[in-house]
Parts: sequence; structure tokens; C-alpha cells
Amino acid sequence: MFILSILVLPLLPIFLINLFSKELKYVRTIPIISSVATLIIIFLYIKTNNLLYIESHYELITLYPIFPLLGINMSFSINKISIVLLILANLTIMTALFSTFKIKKRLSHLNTLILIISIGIYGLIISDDLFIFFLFYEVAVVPMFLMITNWGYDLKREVSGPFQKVLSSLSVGTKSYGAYKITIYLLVGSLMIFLGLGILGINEGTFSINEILNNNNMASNNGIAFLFLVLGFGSHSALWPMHTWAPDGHGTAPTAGSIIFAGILMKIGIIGFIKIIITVFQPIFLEYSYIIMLLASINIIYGAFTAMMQDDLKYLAAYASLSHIGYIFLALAMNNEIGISSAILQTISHGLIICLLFFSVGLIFNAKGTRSIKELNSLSDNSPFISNIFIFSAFASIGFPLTSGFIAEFLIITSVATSPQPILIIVPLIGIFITTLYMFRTVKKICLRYVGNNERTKGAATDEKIICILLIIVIITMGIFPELFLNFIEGESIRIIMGI
Amino acid sequence: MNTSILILSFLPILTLLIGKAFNFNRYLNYAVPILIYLIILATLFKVTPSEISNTFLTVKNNQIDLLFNFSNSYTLMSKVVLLISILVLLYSSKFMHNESERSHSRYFLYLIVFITSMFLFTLSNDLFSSFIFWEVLGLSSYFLIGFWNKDSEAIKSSTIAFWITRFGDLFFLGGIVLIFSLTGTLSIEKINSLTSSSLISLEIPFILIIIGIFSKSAQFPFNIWLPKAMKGPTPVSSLIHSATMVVAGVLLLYKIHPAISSSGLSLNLIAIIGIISSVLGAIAAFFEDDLKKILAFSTISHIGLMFLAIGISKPDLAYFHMFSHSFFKSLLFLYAGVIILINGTSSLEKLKGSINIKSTAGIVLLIACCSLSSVYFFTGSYSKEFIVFSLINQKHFILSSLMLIGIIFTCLYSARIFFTLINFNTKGLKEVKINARFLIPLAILSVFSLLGFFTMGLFQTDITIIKVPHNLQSILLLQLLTFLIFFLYFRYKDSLLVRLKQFNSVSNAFFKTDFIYLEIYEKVFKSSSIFIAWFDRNIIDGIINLLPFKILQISRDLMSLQDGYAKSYALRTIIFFILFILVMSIVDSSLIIGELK
Repeated sequence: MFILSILVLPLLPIFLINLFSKELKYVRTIPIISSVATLIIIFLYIKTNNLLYIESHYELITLYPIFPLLGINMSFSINKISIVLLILANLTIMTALFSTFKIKKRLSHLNTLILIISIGIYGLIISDDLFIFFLFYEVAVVPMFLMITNWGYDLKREVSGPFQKVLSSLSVGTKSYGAYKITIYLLVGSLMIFLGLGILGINEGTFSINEILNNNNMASNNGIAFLFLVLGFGSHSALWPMHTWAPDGHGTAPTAGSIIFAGILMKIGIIGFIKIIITVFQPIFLEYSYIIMLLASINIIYGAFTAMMQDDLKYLAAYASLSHIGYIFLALAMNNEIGISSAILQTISHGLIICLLFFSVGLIFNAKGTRSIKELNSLSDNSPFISNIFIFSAFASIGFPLTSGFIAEFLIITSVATSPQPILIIVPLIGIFITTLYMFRTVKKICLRYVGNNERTKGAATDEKIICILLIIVIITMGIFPELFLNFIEGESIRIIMGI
Repeated sequence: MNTSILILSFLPILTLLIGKAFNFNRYLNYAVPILIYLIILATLFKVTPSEISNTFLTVKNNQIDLLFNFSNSYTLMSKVVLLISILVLLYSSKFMHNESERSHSRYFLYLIVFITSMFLFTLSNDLFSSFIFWEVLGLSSYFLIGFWNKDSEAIKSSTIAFWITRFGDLFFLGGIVLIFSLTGTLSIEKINSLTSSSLISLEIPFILIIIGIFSKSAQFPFNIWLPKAMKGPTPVSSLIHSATMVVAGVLLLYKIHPAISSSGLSLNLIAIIGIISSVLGAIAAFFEDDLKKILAFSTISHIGLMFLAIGISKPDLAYFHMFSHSFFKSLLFLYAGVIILINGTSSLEKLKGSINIKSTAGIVLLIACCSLSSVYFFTGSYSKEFIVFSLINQKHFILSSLMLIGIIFTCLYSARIFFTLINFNTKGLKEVKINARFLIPLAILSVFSLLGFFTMGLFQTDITIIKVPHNLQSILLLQLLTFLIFFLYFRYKDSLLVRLKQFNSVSNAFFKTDFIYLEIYEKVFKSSSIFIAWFDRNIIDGIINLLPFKILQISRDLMSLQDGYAKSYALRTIIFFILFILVMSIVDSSLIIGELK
């Protein structure tokens, strides 16, 4: 029960930082203290329920009914996967809070938005009711609009081809375009989820995910709900071809926004897949899994190829995360036990790696004032720490052994190899190779390439170093001791795949 | 005790990291690792053959264990690795003397990571941990090759080397995953026993692994990265080429040989790629002018020979050749490093006649070149001759005749190095002083390269070579050939290069294919990525944006209705009412009709 306090806890720092909005020191540290407190609450929950030693855990908390007629309740459910996701969300929010340290312009407002988003994300992860799920989604997405319009960046984007008129009339590349695009796109996506969930809920007579799962005789005409949900969740996690909001949104958003989006919000679609589509719609999903497989393969290859020729580091990271999301969908589409646990592992590992990548891009931008690969150079000589962080995240994102990315990718490839279509393993392998090509092309250009200037630009501050090192430690620990993590989620992934 | 060796091998990395953080004296950067490696080397002679197993991952009730085997055939190579590493560390301490504090510690950190991963690779007895150390080798070599990043060529070379080896590593990874999903284990011993007994065909995964090995060992057609890798500091080249990275593949093939020997296709593949690399590498080395690149091609050639030995099912001979190759190749590289450092150039023509025959340097060069061209009683000769005679005994006549060309060219380039560098006219030439920290490694390695009998004895106590029957006459014939070529080169130095030009074109066509890779990169990856990026930004995003664009357009059109003239409003109101009445009457009548029915 006390776990629900994480939903209320961020309200306190929101109050405090708006009270002391002139004292930048307080505005910076109070939210971080509160997110550490959240982490402590999560760990306390693990401790009190002995989650490390029990196979499977499920707790349902129903607070009060909202619409008793329709069976909509304020209810939450917690299992091991949601605990893991809460920890990821917490780390993501913490990284985002750290990334705002250099900003002086209305910092209290920015941190308030981040904290509101954090309430939305936590609620989203533990919600049991479809209606509540949708509610918290909006809480998480809408502040992003304000974030981009107030703290975002205007970019230049050249357009050509048959749609030149369309694109230029919408003034693509500006921050207002990015803000509108990301908000409208995701609202349309969540509208689809709402429709799908509504159809599902009305058919089943309840909005509780838990009850729907336990209901064995499913209403048969759920095909349309399935379609809506795949489109909705797919657009949230940037499944091809519903991905174009991601690069524009990431490019124009401030670093904190990119981190939150890539780190956790893009994963919500995947959680939806794991929580609802694979379990509730298992027969339909099995029938159409080849479409997901195809789209996932396109995501992997297409995302990697697109990332190769980007000049803006944020666009590069956005397309790289597009490609990595593809691995998750590929693993999910395999529909076996290894597939589920590797998808969860990749979700977590990619969340951490992309946080680090975006954070390092933010550091580079603060130090050099540009994100263009063509203009950046000599980082490893001028600011070694930032360059090391970038190189580390490059290695982590190509799935290098001893990082969490390797374990995830190894398991994903294994799940593909044990599936009925083992030939598909070439897709992730080609994806990894192209990732190597563009990541190390970028490392060569921005870190190693030496151009005569020997000025030492300002490096990272101590607090920025702390969060980087924390993320690196988590990534490496997951890479060296994967058993710790996999044992934790194993029971749950078996439960999902057996449909119980 | 065996576990403590593994833990001990991580200690140097830790000390370097701590030293880097607290700015210790740079002296500790190499002194501590040398000391620890000496201790490990000493304890390795006393270990009991046993196996250490750590569970790393459990996938669906199948365990992936990290296995380390301390049997003699495994520890022998670890001893060689450690010995050469210690010498290279000693050598580097002088070589890197003038570097700044930061790059000094960085260099030694990469070097130690490299050595540790190779050391653990030699002991690992399962494919999973082999793959991990294999990748870490690639990582540290990436940083070491591109160490002098002020030179744009160096970082370009390191990136290319990383791309190519990584390309092969993915084949390796695919092979491992397939083996794991088919058999449920990655332990080399279990796989070896499985394939000899069971019905599961592991041919495809093994071919994938073999392709991965080719890329790491710079065999044809992945050979282009190795000559480029010469941009790194010379001690690193010495380490990469002698006992570590490039021979890691040979070691792995030696370990998994029982499993692949059942598949004829993979053996043939290994033999064919081996002979191509061996012959073409030797030819390319002869026509090269850069001293370090000659040695690089020579490495490709020798490793091709090892692959050939595995391809004809003689893995112990491959192991033996790898063992003896380590000594003379690291000697040659360390030697070349000194020469290049003193003279400031690596071009063979510019180095002409720079070494006095009667100096220490001259004697070391003589030993190194004789060992390289496998003159009898030198270390390089035994293993090479065993491979040649087992080829002839097995009646592989095409392979043996190709091999003969390779041998001739090997002698030719050794003769070329020797006779170009050496000055027989001793008068008026200054004696070159070699620093003690350079000289000690050179001297120790010369002893190992000179005393072929000694190293052979060292080898045979640990691994028994299946004797290759051969007679005295054929050995004499082979030695005569070597000396004849030495003599011929000495007499007709300049005309030989011209006469053998046609071989050069062959090697250029097959071997120096950098431009093909460049074409593939430009044409396949770059251009398709430019197209896809354009397609994504303009077509897909255009289609997506079409919807809001249309909505905006329609709303703009509708806005034009609100023109502010009372006349047009009145007109529209009248039209609307007429339409409304018409529609209502139709609907109404249909409703009435419906009611009537």
C-alpha cells in the first residue's frame, strides 16, 4: 500500500521549489532528493515483500470506484516487472533532473514539469485499470508540450521531394512544430489506445486489466480492438512507419525531455504490448505476429541506416533508439519465454544506455555549443571525460560484451534462433553491424579526430560526473551479473507466456 | 590456486585505474603489471591441470558457464603470452618515455586490458567467454591502434580495423547462438564430444565461427586491416602480431578442432583460405617498401600456414607453429621499432645499409631473419618443415606446389630485409647504441628464436606432436633452396624485383583490395543510408504531415466563408433553409412510408 506514496511524493518538491524559486541551489537539489527518496521507497517495497526470493509477486490495490456503472476503479497492481520499470523510470527522471543543472532560465518551472511527468509515469506503470492507465498517460505527455515550446531548440531542416510544399508550409524543424507534432501524434496514439481499451472494456464488462486476464472466455470480436491497440502502442514506441515524431521531438526538445522520452515514455508502448496485447490478445497476436516481425525488422535496419547519415547528434541518438526498439519488438514477436525476458531486459538496458547517450550529447552541447557532427572535433583531447562517456555509450549501444546491451542482444538473437524462423537472426546481426558503422564513424569524427586547437574546454561538473558514473555502474553490473536481473523477472515472463 | 591466478590477472587493471585516479608515479604503470605477470608466470609452471567453472547465465534451464581450463595444452600458450607481454611492457616503458603523463597511463591501461583479455582467452574453455575476451581484444586494439590520434591516418586505420573485426565477430556471435540453441551448451568439451557422437549437424554454425576467425586473424579477404594497423605504436604491433590477437583464432580452432574435423567443408575452407593468405601474403611482403608493413604481410602469411595445418587435420602442428612464430615475430617487430626510432623512417630504401654487421644489432637481425626464413636449427624451421612434409605425405600436390611458391617468397623477403639493412662495409659507420630496456627483450627473444631445439623440447614435453615422417635428403634440399635464394638475392638484387613483377600484380589484385571495401562502404552503406534518410524525412514524414496540412487547408477554405458581408450571409441562410426543407421532406416522407408499412 505504501508504494502508492511515490505518486504523491513529487507534489512536495513541486510546492517547495516554487516557493523558493529564486534559490537555484534548492531548485536543483530538492527534486533530486525526492527522487532518491522514491528509489528508497521502491527498495523498501522490495525488502518488505521479499521480492528477491519469491518466484512471482502480485499485489492489487483498489482505492475507490470512479464509475461503478462501467466498472472503472482507481486500482493499481504491482508485480515484479512493474518494480523493475519503476526503478528504470526513477533513474531516467533522476538523469533528466541532473541534465537541467546548467539551465538558469525558469529552472523551477522546468523541474516542476519533470516532476509532474514523473507522477504520470509512475502511475502509468502501476495502474491496473485501463481508464487510469489512459489518465496517467495524459499527465505524462502534456507537460512535454510546454517543455519543448519553452526550453526547446529551433533547428533547420531542408526539405525536397514531392511533399516539399506540405513540409515547408508547416515550418518543419522549429520547436513549435516539434512540440505540436509530438503532442498531437501521441494524443492521437493514445486516442487509439483509448478506443481499443474502451472496446475491450465494454466487451469484457470490466476495465481492470487483471480481471480481463483472468477471464478465460474472451469475447471473440476483439479484432478491431487489437488493431487500435497495436496502432496506438506502436506509435508510442515508434514502430515503423509511425515513428516520425521521435526524431523531430528529440531534436527540438531540451536534453531532459529527450531523456525522459527515450528512456521511459517510448517504453510505455512496449509495456502495453507486454501487459495487454501479448496476454489478452494472445490468439490474434500469434496469428499476426509475422507483421510485427516484419515491422520490427524494418525498424532495426531502417533506423540504423537512417542514423548513419545524420549530422545532428540528437537525431543520431533518436534513430539509434528507433533501431534498438526494433530488437524489442522482434523479441516480443517470437512469443517464447526467452523472447519476453530478453525484451524486458532490452527495454531496461536500452533505457539506461539511451539516457547516458542523450546526457552525453547534452554535455557536448553545453561544452561546445553545437551538436553538429561536422563541426565537432578533438573531444578526447579537449574534454576527456565527456568523450569517454560518449565512447562508452557507443560501445554499450553496439551491444559490446560486459555491458547490459550484450546480454540483451545475445538473448534476443537466441530467442530468434529457437523460434520457427531461425534465419531471421541475420536481421539483428546486420543491425548491430550498421550500428557499429555509424557509432564509430561518429566517435572517430567527434572524439578522436584532432584539429589543431588545443584549448581545454570546460569539462563536466562533479554532479554531472556522479550521474554518469551511476548509470555506467548499473549498465556494467547488468552486463557482468545478468543472473541477478534475469532471476528477478524470470517467473513473471513465464507467467506472461503461459497466459496466466 | 587456479582461481587466484584468475583474480590476480585482473589486479594490474585495478592498480592502473587507481593509479590513474590518484596520479601515481608513472613508474608504477609498468612496474606493477610486470611484477604481477612474473608471479603468474611462475605459478603457471606449478598449476595442477583442472577446470574452473562459473555460471554466468541460465537460459531456459540451459546454463552458460564460464570455464577456464588449466591443462597443459592451454597453459603453454598463456605462458608464451605472459613472457612476451612482460618483454613488451619492459620495452614500452622506454618507448613511451616521452609521452605526457596522461597518455602514458592511458597507453599502459589499454595494453594491460589487451594482455589480460588475451591471457584469459588462452585459458577459456567455452565459446561464450572466448567471445567476450575476443571482443575485449578488439576493443583494446581499437584504442591502441588509434593511440596517436593527432595522426588522422591512425584513427582512420583503427576505425577500419574495428569495423572489419566487428563484422567477423557478428558471424562468430551468430555461430555461437546457433550452437547454443541447437545443443544447449557452449562448453567446448561438450561440443567436441557431442559432434563426434550425435546426429546434430553443426556445420553451418561452425562455418560462421570460422568466418569470424578469418576476420580477426586478417586472412583473405579480410586482410586489409592488418597492414593499416601498423599506425599504432610498434610494441603494440609486436604484441598484436606475435602471440595475441591475430593468433587467437588459431588457438580457438585448435580447441574446437575435434568438433570441426567431422565436417569436410569447413576443413577445406580453412585450408583454401590458409594457402591463399599464406602465398599471397608472402608475395605482397616481398614487394612492400615499408618495413612494418612487410612484417604485417609476413604475419598474414605465417598465420595462413597455421590455418593450412588445421585444414589438413594437423592442429598440433598449427599450435607448434604459432608457438615458435610468436618468438621470432615479436623479436622482428621490437627490432624494427628500435631501427625506426633511431633513423626516423620506416621505408626500407631509406634505411639501406644502416646497420653494422659486426654490431649487436647486426647479430640480432641475422638471427631474426634466419628464423623467419626457417634456416635449420632456428626456431622457425621445425614447425614449418613439419607442415610442409605432412602436406607432401598426405599427397596434396596442388597445395604443396603453391606452398613452395610461398616458401620461396618468404626466403626472398627475409633476404631482402637482411641484405638491405645490413652494411658489410664496416668502416666509417657509427656504432648504434641500443638502450638497455630495448636490448634485454631483444636479447631474450633472440635466444628463444635461436635455440630451436630448446623451444622444441619445451614444446614436446607439454604436447606430443604426431611425428611427421621425413628424411634427411628432403630437409637438406629445402635448406639448399633457402641458401640458394639468399645467394641469388644477394647477387641479383635489383633485377629480381623487376623479373618477379608479374607476381606483384597477382598479389595486388587479390590482396591490396582496400578500394573494394571503400567502394562497398560508399556504394552500399553510405548511398543507401543517404537515400533512406532522405526517404524518411521527406516521403514518410511528408505523408504523415499531409493530414494536418489538409486539415489546415480545409479550415482556411471554410474561413473564407466568413467574409463579413451581410448580403452573402443572407444568401447562404436562404440556400441553407431551402436545402433543409428539401432534405427534411425526403426524410420525412420516407419515415412516413416506413410507418405506413
